[in-house]
Amino acid sequence: MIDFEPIYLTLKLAFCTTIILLVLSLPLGYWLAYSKLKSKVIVEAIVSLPLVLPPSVLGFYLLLAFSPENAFGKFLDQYFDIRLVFTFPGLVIASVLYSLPFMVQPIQNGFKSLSKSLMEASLLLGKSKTETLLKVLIPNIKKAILTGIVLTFAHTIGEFGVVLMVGGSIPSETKVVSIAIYDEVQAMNYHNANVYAGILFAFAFVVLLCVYSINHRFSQTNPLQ
Amino acid sequence: MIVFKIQKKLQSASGEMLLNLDFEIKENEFVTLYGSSGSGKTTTLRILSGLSEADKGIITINNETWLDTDKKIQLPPQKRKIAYVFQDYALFPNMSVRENLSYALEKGQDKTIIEELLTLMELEQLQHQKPAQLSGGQKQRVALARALVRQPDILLLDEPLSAVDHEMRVKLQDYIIQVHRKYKLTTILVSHDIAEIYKMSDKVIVLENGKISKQGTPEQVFSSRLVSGKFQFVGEILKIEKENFIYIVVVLIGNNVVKIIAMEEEIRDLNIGNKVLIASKAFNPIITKID
Amino acid sequence: MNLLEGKISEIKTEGSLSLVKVMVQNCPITSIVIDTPESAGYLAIGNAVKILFKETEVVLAKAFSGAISLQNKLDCSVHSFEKGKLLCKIILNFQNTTIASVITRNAFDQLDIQENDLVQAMIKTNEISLATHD
Repeated sequence: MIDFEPIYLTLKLAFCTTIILLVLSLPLGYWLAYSKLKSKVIVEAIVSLPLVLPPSVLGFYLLLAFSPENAFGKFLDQYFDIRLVFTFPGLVIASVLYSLPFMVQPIQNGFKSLSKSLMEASLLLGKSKTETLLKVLIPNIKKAILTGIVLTFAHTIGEFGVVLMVGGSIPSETKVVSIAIYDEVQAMNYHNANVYAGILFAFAFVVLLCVYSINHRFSQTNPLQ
Repeated sequence: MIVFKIQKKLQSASGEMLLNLDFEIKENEFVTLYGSSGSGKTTTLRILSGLSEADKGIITINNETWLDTDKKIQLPPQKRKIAYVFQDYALFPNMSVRENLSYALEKGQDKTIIEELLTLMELEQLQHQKPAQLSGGQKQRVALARALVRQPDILLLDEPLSAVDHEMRVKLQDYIIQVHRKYKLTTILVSHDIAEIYKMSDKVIVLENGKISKQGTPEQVFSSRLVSGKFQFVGEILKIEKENFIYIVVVLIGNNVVKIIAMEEEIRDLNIGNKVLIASKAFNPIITKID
Repeated sequence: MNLLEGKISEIKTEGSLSLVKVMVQNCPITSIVIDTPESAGYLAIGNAVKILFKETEVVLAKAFSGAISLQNKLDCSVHSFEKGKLLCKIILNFQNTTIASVITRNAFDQLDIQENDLVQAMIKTNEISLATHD
């Protein structure tokens, strides 16, 4: 019998990761796009690391960091009673770090593609930077934000290496679909693996289909975006 | 009165340049900054509005200090209450024409100014359109209207007319003159177009490599040669026809096409598209009433 | 456009009009302008000015006698000419420079103008513009 728990877990993980990243990436992308600080290249490089790093490397370091044997993990364990290794919250944090560039880069590029004079015009109309960000800049990079959301969501669903390292395969806690497929194949249950894989495949396709059709409508009603 | 004394090092195509300006502008004056590109015109507007920083200097507006680098005073752009019209219009694409104007309202400001400006700029028909649906000239009018919502005293125009065709340009010039008078603005325009400058400005400041090379009325700056001609116009050469040893030069002055007889020696430096000064003794023209 | 250089030797003013006499070497040329020494700084005796007038405003006379209202008479000799069907352009030696006159072909034929002929070039006072040096 097919266990639907991994599917629920996968969606939950992708959803949480996407929301957290969206909140995080809007200010971060804004800062990266507009800051004149020279040191911002360091931040840019760090944000992009997950693009080139094998997931197992990132997962390995996170495993070490989260482990109660080490300083950071110990600190969390002792003072907050939080365990991140082999738990869902740990998985979310790992996913957020791993998918960071997929959200930050489209948003940063979105901000960069806007004419500098849009922000300047708003400032000269007496508006604060926050108001400018919320009412002028963000509404004009909707497409970039949507791209970021979709990429992050899809990327989180497909993630395997980091999850395996940090989360292992604990049912109802860290066993997401990609892990479940791996487990089923290991156990020679090709039928179950096939169902999981099929669901993931169909889901990814439907999501992309929706996004492209929405994007298409966007660009038709507003050619500027 | 605007007092502007500024120094700023700029990186230009030809290396480092020092923008070093010292000028005053009277209230309600219409001043044009003229000069080749890279001479510091746009930077001057940006420093005045607070979008760019100066290395050193002071800016005072009617005895209110906006910038004093010695006293570390620097008002942010939000506090400078300036109407600024960008070269690319900078309309907010996510907002309709009316929303672009409403966005500029200050907290608690009377909203009737929106209707007034929409009417004045003849934008009522377009008020629910998005900027992407507008022509260049229409965008320009929206940008001008939006800049005026907060009812500032100073209007800065950064080559706003460079991207529209000639006919539209003439119309927009009239809109600008109209608001300049109606709202008693002190206006600074960046322009390359001598005919436009003659039409609009009380005063011209000519910038060369970051310094003021000349200033005065358009007549003083552009036609110091011919002092006794009282019948003078600036126009653009449309056509040069040769008739034996005589040339007929067709010149566009404002909306009117006129013809001028010239000799070969006078034609030598002239080409189609050149800006020229047409002058005659005031004794020659015949004046008749048109009914 | 003809251009001569001279020095202002006399200014008479009435209302906002001034009659300005300019000496081009020893030849006086007068111009009337809508300016006064008060309104225009360049109007001062001794100031160097340029005299400008259009070729088409230069009247030519040959062996002329009698009275004429034209005040500016320049003694010239014909240097060269170009003939058209309707108009003719005549280059004249005046002092150490040249000026040009454009008159109708009919007038040219009537005057029977030949090279080196002595002629008088006349220009109405109100056709002369004044310019300062750059």
